[in-house]
Amino acid sequence: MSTPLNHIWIVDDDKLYTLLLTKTLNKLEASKQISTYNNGQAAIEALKAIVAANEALPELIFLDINMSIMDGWEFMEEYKLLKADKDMSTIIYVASSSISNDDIAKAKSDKEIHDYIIKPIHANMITGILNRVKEQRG
Amino acid sequence: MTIEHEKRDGTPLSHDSGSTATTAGSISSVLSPAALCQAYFETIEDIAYMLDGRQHIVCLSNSAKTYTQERFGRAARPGDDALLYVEPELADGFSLLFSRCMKGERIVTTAQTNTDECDQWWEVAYAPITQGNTVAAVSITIKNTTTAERLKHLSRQMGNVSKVGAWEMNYVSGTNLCSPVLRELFEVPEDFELTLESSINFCSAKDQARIKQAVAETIAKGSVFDLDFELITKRKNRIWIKAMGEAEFRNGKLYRLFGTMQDITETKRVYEELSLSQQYYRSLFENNPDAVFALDLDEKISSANKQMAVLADTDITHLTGQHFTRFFLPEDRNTALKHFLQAKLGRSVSYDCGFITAAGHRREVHLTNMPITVNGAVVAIYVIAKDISEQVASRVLVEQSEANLKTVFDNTEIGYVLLTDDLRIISFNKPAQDYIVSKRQKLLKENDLLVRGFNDERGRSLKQIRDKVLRGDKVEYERFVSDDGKNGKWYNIIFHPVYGEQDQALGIIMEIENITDRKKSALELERSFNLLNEQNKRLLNFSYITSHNLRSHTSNIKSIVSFLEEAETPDEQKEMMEYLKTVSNNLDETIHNLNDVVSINNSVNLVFTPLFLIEFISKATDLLKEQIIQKQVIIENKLMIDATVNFNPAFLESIMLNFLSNTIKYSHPERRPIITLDSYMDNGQFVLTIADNGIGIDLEKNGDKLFGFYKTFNGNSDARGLGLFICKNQVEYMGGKIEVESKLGEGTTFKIFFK
Repeated sequence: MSTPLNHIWIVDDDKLYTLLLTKTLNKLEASKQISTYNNGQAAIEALKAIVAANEALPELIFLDINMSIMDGWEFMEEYKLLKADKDMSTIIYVASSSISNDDIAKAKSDKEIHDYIIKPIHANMITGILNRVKEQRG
Repeated sequence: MTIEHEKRDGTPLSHDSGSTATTAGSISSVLSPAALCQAYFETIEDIAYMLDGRQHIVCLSNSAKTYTQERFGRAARPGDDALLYVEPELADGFSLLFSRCMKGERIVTTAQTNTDECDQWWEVAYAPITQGNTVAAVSITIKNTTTAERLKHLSRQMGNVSKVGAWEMNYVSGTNLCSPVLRELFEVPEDFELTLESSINFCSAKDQARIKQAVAETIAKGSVFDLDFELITKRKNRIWIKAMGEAEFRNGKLYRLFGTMQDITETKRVYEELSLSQQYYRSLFENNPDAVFALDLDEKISSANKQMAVLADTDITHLTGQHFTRFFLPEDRNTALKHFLQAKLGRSVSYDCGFITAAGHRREVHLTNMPITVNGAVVAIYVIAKDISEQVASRVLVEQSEANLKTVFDNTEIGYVLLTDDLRIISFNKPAQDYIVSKRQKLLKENDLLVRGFNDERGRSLKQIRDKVLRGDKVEYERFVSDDGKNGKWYNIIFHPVYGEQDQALGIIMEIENITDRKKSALELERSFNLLNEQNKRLLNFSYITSHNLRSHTSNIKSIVSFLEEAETPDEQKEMMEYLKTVSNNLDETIHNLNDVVSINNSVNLVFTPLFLIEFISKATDLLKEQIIQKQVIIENKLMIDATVNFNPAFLESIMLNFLSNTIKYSHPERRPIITLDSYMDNGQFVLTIADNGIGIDLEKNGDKLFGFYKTFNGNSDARGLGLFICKNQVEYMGGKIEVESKLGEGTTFKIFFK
């Protein structure tokens, strides 16, 4: 495998999914570090802390839509506010089990969302995503 | 008297003693002079005496004897002193006149005697009787002139009263006579020489010519003239004179012209006034725009004007003399006669009748009978006839159209109340009355104020409506009137202005439409819509649940399966099998929950029973015993021990369990959870409150998600989040509602409103 990314985030409240995805990413040696957050609130606070400390941002985020406290959409709103002050190169993929066309269309229309992935995420799908991330980051 | 004698025989019969003495003297040879003298005196009709120089009676007439007998109680006799028969008050005068006569003077005097019975006038003549050159005796003749005097007096009085003056022109003697009255008429002084000729000068030239011609004719033909003319008196007063005159001829020659002039100014004036008013009335009668005819007391037309002839399609000559009912409709003749009789009794009456004209046309006529009264007695009746055929025809039309409108008005299903601009009721129809009755208000009555019987508040709001409507706006609102039972009626009330021809608001129409059916179907429609909407929402929720929750399980299963396939170690396989078990449990629960959701929607005709809340609370706490103990939850129950709600038992069980477990689940990690159960009444609705001191919810952000769809709040996907959604559905299905108050980090209060 090619060089792994430094940091991948999984924002999802489905514990089993998170576990399985982490397992897959580790198998592929996709990232040196993987962090999981079970709602948007936790994730955006972590992101704010990184920005405040001027530390390295995650290169890739897998974001679920349907979460309690703060869902994926709300997270995106907060993320954009944050990005207005600070240039961030993080690539966000929405990964949801929803096959609702509304959700897909909404994700596609958001410029900050790189793509919409319908769960489950297969290993070869992850490889493709990683290649694209690397390509984009040059 | 003297004049009359002269006129009668033309020869004066004088009682001059001189001439009488001469005559007597020729027969003295038969009787002694004294006897002869006495015999002569007895032939004299008047009271006559002969007195000697000593005033003693020598001889006297029979009348003198009678007179003295009557007057003084004894008849005078020759030899008596004459003074015995003279009234004491006249005695001096008598003696004086007697002595004057004894000196040869002839005296005629008048005397007046007054007694209680009557006044008398006398003419007393003293005549000396001479023998040679000496007066030997005196003859006294007393004539009663009372009648002549009174006649003279009367004629003067008459002349003054009737203003008749007399005049005479004597052509033989060339003298003019005129009575004082004539001077008074001409207002000329007493010395004014008023003759026929001079009097003419007071007239206009035209009248002068007329008079001269009439006089000439009278002289020529011996006729009588009679002329009226106007003249201006000496004092410039305008008077009318009636002059009459005739001529007298003697021996074929004009002897004199004589006649009278009478002031007829007053008569003339009255006559002119009468003639003027007669012309007025004539003109009023003839030119009256209405038909007018006069009836005599025999019910016959005595005269009629042109309009009457037109009305009867005939001419005036064919009307006069006709019985007046001839032109009336046979059935109206009695009415006409009745009114005729009333007028005959002096009353003015009006009535309507039908006419059939001479040409056979039918006319509607309004008649007025007016009695003509002369000196209090009805002498005739005037009738004014107005042709009201057109009015009657249009009235009939208006009545018909009014009747038509009224029929429409009364038979329409919409209630109408016509109001004046101050909300006085002009008219209303039955549906309007029914509406008012259904509101248990005072019955509508024409001329009443609409606000009567309303309370002050309603009265004020009506006045506001009125003001708005009179400004030209339409006011419309819906009103629900419930009857005793559950049913009621919906009405749409509209107030709109009524405009006159000048676009001014004249009044207000209140329109009351029963829209119950429309409203019912609208409500039905709304209910169906809401139901559909609700079902649609549930479907959406269902599809959401399907797409999110079921999908998340299936995607996990897919992942696990692929891990299983690629598992390199038995441990790994075992781990995956464990995951698979968890997923299958989760899936099972999700499907159960889905079933719950679906089953609420299928619950038809659920049973309502009174349920003790306490019972259901303890059931739920029993089930949640483990968590309660683990989290050391304090449950404060402030509910009355017998607090009951009318609800379905299965639903209440699920509701209590869901709310309590939800509350415990979202308790604040840093404090001991306290759950307070309480209740209150809101508008007769029982409200159960469940308050906690848990983590709370940001209602602004997540309020819509609270009951909206399958959602977990705690990050573990044990699918209990579906609970609130199910509870909400259950409560609403039973006719209640759920409200929530919350503050993030402080706690949440749920309020369950039971129906």
